Amino acid sequence: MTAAVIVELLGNGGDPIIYTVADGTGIVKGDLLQLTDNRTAAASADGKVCAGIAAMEKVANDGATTMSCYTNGIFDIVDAGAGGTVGVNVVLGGINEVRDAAATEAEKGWIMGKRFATAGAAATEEVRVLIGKHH
Amino acid sequence: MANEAVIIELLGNKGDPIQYICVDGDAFPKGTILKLSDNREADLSSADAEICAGIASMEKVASDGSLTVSAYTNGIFDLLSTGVVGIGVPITIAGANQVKAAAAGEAETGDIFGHALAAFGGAETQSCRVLI
Repeated sequence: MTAAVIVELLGNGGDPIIYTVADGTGIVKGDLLQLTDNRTAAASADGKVCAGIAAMEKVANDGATTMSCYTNGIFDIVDAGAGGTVGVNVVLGGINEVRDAAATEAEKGWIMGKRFATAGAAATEEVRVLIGKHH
Repeated sequence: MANEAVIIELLGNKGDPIQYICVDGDAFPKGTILKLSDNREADLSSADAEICAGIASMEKVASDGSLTVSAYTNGIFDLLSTGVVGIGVPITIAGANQVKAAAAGEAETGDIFGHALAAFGGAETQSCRVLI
């Protein structure tokens, strides 16, 4: 799926955080990443905790085992299929996708931001991303 | 409007202001609690269950020709509550420039925009951590 596109970086240059990644993983700049292990990130999936948005490209098997992720900003992100209304909190909905948060997902730490624009089904719209905020 | 928020501390990068579009005819005193009224558009807070866009970082005079407003999204502000709020309890918009303790389910709907840093004994002003 299409990677996220930076609209604005907030905080200190998007407040990037460095995570460990597998050397064999290829990551495109703008990919949504999930937390998979102790400070380790990988490609996103539905129902996972968001680590951030890849701040750089990583070529598979390039020897790098770290990745920097933006955690604070406004990004254009693809909706997972159901669409959503402006203001509603979102969680990872699949590979590089978000969906509206469901009941109890705040307690699980899944919420990664909120819609800054109403998104039609599978549409790309602005999302305010703020990782680590206790929504 | 009345009861605008008062800045105690701006956190992040000078309060991490975000720019929103607004209607030329709108008037926003500095410190107004703004709601998300449409796609990246802000307007005066007015009722419970609104999504907070931030706290107006500038005054906007009605019909001044400006179609944008900047809002602080990260800081500590004195805010007015409509009732009792325990210290540390998440807060949401309750009305025009007013907050209340969040209810169940409001985390997922995106209503929560901060938490109380002091106990509100009733309808009074206390400091709150705002992070949008």
